[in-house]
Parts: sequence; structure tokens; C-alpha cells
Amino acid sequence: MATEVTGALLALDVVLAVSLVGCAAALVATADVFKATVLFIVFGVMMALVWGRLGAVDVALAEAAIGAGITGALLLGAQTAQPARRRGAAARGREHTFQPATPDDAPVYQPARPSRRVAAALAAAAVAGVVLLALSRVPTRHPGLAPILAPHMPDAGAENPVTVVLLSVRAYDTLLEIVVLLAAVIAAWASAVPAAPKPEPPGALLAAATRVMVPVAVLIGGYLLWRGAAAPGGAFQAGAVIAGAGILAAFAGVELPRRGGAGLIRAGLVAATLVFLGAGAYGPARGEPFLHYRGGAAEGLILVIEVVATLSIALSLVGVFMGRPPPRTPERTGGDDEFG
Amino acid sequence: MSTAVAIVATALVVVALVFFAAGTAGVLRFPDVYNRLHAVTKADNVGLGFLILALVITSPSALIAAKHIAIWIFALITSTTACHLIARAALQRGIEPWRPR
Repeated sequence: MATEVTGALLALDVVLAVSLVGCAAALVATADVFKATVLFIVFGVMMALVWGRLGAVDVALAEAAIGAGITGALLLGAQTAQPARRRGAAARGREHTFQPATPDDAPVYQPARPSRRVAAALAAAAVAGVVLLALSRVPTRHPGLAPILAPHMPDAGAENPVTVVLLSVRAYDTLLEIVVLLAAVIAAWASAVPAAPKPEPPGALLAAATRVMVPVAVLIGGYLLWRGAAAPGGAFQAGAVIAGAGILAAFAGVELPRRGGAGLIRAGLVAATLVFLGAGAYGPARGEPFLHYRGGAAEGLILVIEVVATLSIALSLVGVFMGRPPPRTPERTGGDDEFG
Repeated sequence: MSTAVAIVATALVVVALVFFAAGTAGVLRFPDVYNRLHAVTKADNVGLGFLILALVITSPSALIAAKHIAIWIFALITSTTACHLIARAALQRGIEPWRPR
């Protein structure tokens, strides 16, 4: 994308590249899991800026929202919510019982044996070599996928080429990604750790900020979804932003409605998979291949898939973050019924 | 964009950078978590404000200018809340505020 790079932009690119590699190196080098997590989040933000500079705004949005935002929250949540399998935890007999994390309890990786470290270094060097070799063979001026995509664009049902790739030309990939997310939620819920004791009430300021930011985040998610048809954006970015709102609401202690909330969430989780499969059947019903929809119906089908996918992606990401299913019996007010 | 607007915008960005540099120096040099929070939230939000102002006066349309201002307002709300939560958590863990000796 970057055709003419002027001095100032070149300086920015160099700073970004050095920061990115520096973050990655520091992340790998540290034994402190919390520090590594923070560096991972910074790395995600840097990566998003790099994608932006490369002109891949769709990827930049996804990296910022999912890579830095949701994954960072997941990693931090995993550290504070995991059972106390930390220094001396087993000796004190509190394995698999929840203990709130304290700075003394912070998990620290023991250095691996030298043979393992050499093997890991060799494997990493081999991968880096292959990547560099591949990189050296990439033509510097390549038209990209645009010429291949051009014949599909007129009747694909969307104007943003990235959306056309994700929801028409390579719809299989996207369908499977949706299914993977669903599988992730099922796996996370199936291996749920005992619920943490209800944390301290988070305070009036967080509650007030949540009341402002959750509607705004949902609005921005809807905007990204709608823009995705013609400009960078789409279901994954929108779903991640809305999931951020859900996680914020969960932190602020927002609870599900007394009746029906848990069932609605489960329905919402599987909705995208079902709707996508249903849209996929449109082709076979007209004697065409599975997931083949072009022309008049394509725009409507893509819109429906994207709206439902946004909902399911948001619910899946919040579901994985919460780490356990919403309780089915809302009367029991334990510490675990604050699913956003 | 006229030359005058460009000059004012550049000056605003320079002022923003001064505040960002001050906030970063505070994070690196201040003695405890409360002081560092103070530096990073106050100075960076003012710096962001000047940066946004530069973007607003060079915006091609009023809608884009409004979006920039909205970004600043959301950053103010979220960083204030994050600062409060970190400071509260630090206090609850018994981290004593630093006092000059």
C-alpha cells in the first residue's frame, strides 16, 4: 500500500517497527506473567498501528479490538480467576480452591531445562528462517487479491472487498471461524473453575462510567457492523467492541434479568452458526453449491448473517471471558450470576 | 487547509507533545503508584486534548471533527475510571501513599 513514503512517515514506520520487535522481545524475555500480559496488550496496539500504516484498516480494527482488547482482558482474567496453582499453593493445601491473586501469588514461570531451551530456540530460528525466505520471495509490487476478486464484486452483495471475501468468496472460512468460537465457549464452560467469591462492589464511579460507555460501545459496534458493507468494519470488529461493553458491564456488577436471561444467551450463542448454515442452504435450494449466494438475494443474506454473527461473536467473547455458563436458576444469588 | 491553520495545528501538536512527555516522565520518575497515576492520567488527557484540537481545526468536515471530540470525551471518561479503580485497588491492598521524608 505504502507507495511513496516521505521522511516523516518513514521515521514513524521505523519507530513502529522497532517498538513492535522490542515489545515482542521483552514479552518473550520476561518471566513475570503479568508483565508479559501488559506487553502483549501494548504489542497488540502497536500491531494495530502497523496494520493501519499498511492500509489494512479491517485487520487493524480487528487487531485492536480482539488482539489487544479482548485477548488482553482474557489473559488478565485468567490470571486473577485461576485456582491458586502458584508458589507453595499445593504445599498449603489450597490447590483448586479459589484464592484472590495477590502480588506475592503472581504466577512466575520457572526457567525450563537447557535442553528444552535450545530446542525451542532452534524451532523458533527455523520458523523465522522459513518466514524470511517466504518474505524475500514476495514481490514488492503485487496487485494483491483485487484482480482475482474483481469479477465477483458486482453481484456479491457488498462493496467492501474484505466483506466480499469473508462472507461470499470464502464464506466457508468465516462459517468455520464462527463454529470455532462456539466450540471455544463450550470448552471454556465445560472446564469452568469454581466461581470466584463475589468481588468487592466496584464503586460508584465504575457504575457511572459503565452506564455511559456501554450504550456508546453498542452504538459503535452497530456502526462498525453497518459500515462493514462498504468500508472497513464488520461482524468481528463489531462483535468484539460489543463484547467489550459486556465485559465492562460484568465488572460493574450488572446482572442478568431474573428470568430467561440464561436461555437467551445460549440461543444467541448458537444463532450465528444456525443462520449461516441456513443461508448456506440457499445455494443448494436453487441447484447451486453450498454457501453460494450471488445477485439479488446476496445483499440481504450477508446483512442477516453479519447482524446475527455480531450478536453471537459478542456473546461468545463475553462467555469465554466469564469462563462459566450463566446460572440457570436465577433465584440462587451466588457470586456467579453476573454474566454481562 | 490554509497556512495559518497549519501553523496553529502544528503548534497545538507541539504543546500536546510537551504534555505527553511530562506525563511519561512522571510515570518513570514519580515515587509511587498514586503519583504515577496522577501524572499519566492528567498530563496525557490534556495532551490528547491538544492533539484532538489540532485534528479538529484541520478536519475536512464537521462530522469528522465531532467524532474526534467524541474520542476525547470517551478517553476522559475511561481513563478517569481506570485511574480511580487502580488507585482504589492499590489502597485496598494496603499500599501506603508515598510521603516526603
